[in-house]
Formats: sequence, structure tokens, C-alpha cells
Amino acid sequence: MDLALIKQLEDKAVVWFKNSNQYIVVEKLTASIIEQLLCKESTQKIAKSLVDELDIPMIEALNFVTDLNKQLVIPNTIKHTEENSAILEYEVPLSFAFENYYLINSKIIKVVFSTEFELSLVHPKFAHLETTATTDIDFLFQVFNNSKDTFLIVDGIFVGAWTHENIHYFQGKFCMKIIESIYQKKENEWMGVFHASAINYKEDALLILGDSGNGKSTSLALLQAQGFHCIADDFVPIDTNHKVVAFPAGISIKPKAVDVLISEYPSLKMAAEYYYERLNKTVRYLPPKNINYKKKFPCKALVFIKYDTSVELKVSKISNLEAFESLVPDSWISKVSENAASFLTWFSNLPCYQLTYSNNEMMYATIKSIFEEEL
Amino acid sequence: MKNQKKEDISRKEALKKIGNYGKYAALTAVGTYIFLNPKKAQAMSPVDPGSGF
Repeated sequence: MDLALIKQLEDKAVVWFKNSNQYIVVEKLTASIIEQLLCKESTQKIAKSLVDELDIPMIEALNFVTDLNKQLVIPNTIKHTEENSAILEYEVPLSFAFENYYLINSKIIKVVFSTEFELSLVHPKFAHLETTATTDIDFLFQVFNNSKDTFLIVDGIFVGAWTHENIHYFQGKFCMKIIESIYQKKENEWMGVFHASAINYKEDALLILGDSGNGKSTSLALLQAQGFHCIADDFVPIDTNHKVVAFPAGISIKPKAVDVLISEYPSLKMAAEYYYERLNKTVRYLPPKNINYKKKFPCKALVFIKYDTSVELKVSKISNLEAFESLVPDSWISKVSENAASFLTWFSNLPCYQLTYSNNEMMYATIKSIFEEEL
Repeated sequence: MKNQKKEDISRKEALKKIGNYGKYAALTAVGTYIFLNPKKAQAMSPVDPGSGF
């Protein structure tokens, strides 16, 4: 059954379809019917077993199995043509307005940008990694536009082109290429990239998740000031061995959080401010401290965080199913079958928590207890 | 005010309705699913690069 994977998750089952890269949460009985359909078992035979199981008339069972096949199995097993695979025609500019050099994990990455617009898409997050110009570079990233699309070329190879509406995918791919370059691992050697903040304590990592504005980055910065180490903010890569690795982009800090963090990070006061017009959002970037590229960390738990002034601290374990529903739509998960299987195995064994707080000291203590399995 | 349609049904009819529901409740449960699509590609938090650079 190489078209799908089925994994039990609590009292339900998750079916992953390779061709659509879609995860579907179903009842265990439904998963078993899907499995039989994928194995080309006859509809009659499957319906018969359903009649025995649910004590329903044959006609209802037959309709159900047929519908399931039509709604879930067939649409998810037809081969989709690869989107965005067409290589657009482009001409690499002869000169670039900006030429920056970044030192990341002992690699020098030269990035050239054709306009200030392209520069503004990535540079603020990496400004703290800028180094002096040199001819001895490891990778060359070229970023330019043809008035409609923003292009990314890495070492002469076309990576992609993105419209303005999809520019966060350009930024994501740019970061992915940085990850691939500094760890020398191709995209298919990663299990996924998670929209989270990752912190390290002793030998483990924790992923802090939550909707935008819930305080992921602020919590990360607060924890960093308490001696926890930052592994990544906003873009958390996990390899196929389930290890969280460092991604050294700046931690984005919103104006409200500046007041909270200023005593720990006085440099934030003078830090450059970037204003994002459409979102009416102003952000400063805080360089992560003590980034360790050599170490990889197993993930101890997922913590869905929320900063709420009306709650001193409230923590509870949540079901993996509930966490799964929040995690998947917000993540890039490799669609290589082995990696999707690896993801399901990894996730099904992961404790998940909901943590709401306004008392920082209590939050630190709770995070420490989760790391030390004392909660 | 919104008009509410009131429908009187006999006990027999009500039982018939519940009976059908009860019988197929299990089928309804197995026919309920949640679709989850991961992101098509890696993405950063959506940020609009405005004029502030």
C-alpha cells in the first residue's frame, strides 16, 4: 500500500495520501475500509463486513463504501501533476544593487539582491549574521525580479519564482535553501519545517506553537534570557531522525513585547524597526544567543502557548488529535513517504500541552518541569 | 421577528424518526472526517514588505 499510510492516533486513525499529501482524521473503522479499498478488495465484501459490524442494511453499507471510495480514496490517489514545476523564462541581471555576505555555521553565503524590495524580504532577519565581503564563498544566492515575480537562483540553479501574494513562500524557500546549504542536507532529508519557536534545555528541545500574536517569539526571548537556548524562531527544521536543528534567523519582536523585554535586552531599544505596511505591523529583530549548529535535539513536547493578562498561569495536557489539527495546516511536512511515516510516528508519541500565562516566573518553572518530565 | 415553523408530529412518527437516526448514527460517525492539508511549501510568517526598509 504505497499510496497511503494509516496510523492510529488516540481513538481515531490518520490516513495520509501520498499523491495529494493530505492527512485525513477518520474513525478506525473507516480507516480499515479505506485500507481495504486501497488493496482493491471488492465493494461487496467490504460492505458485508460493515453490515456485520454496524447492523445496517446492505444497501446502506454499499452506498457508504461507494461514497467513501468516491469522496476520499479516488480523489486522493489520482496522480497530480507537480505544481509550479514549470521553469519560467528569466534573465539573471548583469549587476545587482546589493551584495551581502552571511556567515552561518562556518559557511559563507553570498546573497545578491537586485532591488531594495528583495533585500527587505530577507536581510532584516539575517542582518546579525552579516560578514565582510570575500571571494572565498561557499554558496551564491541570487534574488531578483522581472516586475511580476521574485526569482531565487542558488549556485546557478533555478529554485523558483513567486508572485507578491506568495512572497512568504519565497521567504520560506530562501530559508530552506539556507538550511540545506549549512547542513548539507537536501530537502527530502528533512521531515518538516514547523511554524513554531524552538528552545533547548540540557539535551532536549521544546516546540512552542500558537497562532500569530499569541506570544511565541516573546516567550522564546524571555526563556532565552533565563538561560534556555534558542534553537529557532518562526522556522523550525526537524530532520528525518526527529532532531530539531538550529536556524539562526533573528527573533521577531513586536512593539508591545519590546517593553516586556527591554530590561533583559537593552539593545532592543536602539534596534532597527521594520514596518510592514499591509499588516500594519512593526517588528524589531533580536539576534538569538548561543546558537549551536553542532548539536541536534530530540523534541520533548509541543507547547501551545498563549499570553493572556487575565490568567496567571494555566497548563494542561491536550490530546494529540487536537494538537494535530492545529499543527498540520501550519507546517510544511515532507511528502516523501518515508518522511511522512516518520512524522506520524514522531507526532503520535509526543506529549502536547496548552499553556496560558501572564506570570513569567511561573511560565519558566512550567517549561522547566515539562523538560524535566515533572509536570 | 423571525417566523418559526411549528411542526406537530405524532409519537409514532417521532419514534420512527429517532429510530432511523439511531440506526444510522454509527454510520454517520464513520462517515465523519477531518481533512488537514500541510503547507505546499516552506513558508515564513506572512509578512508584507512595505516601505519601511
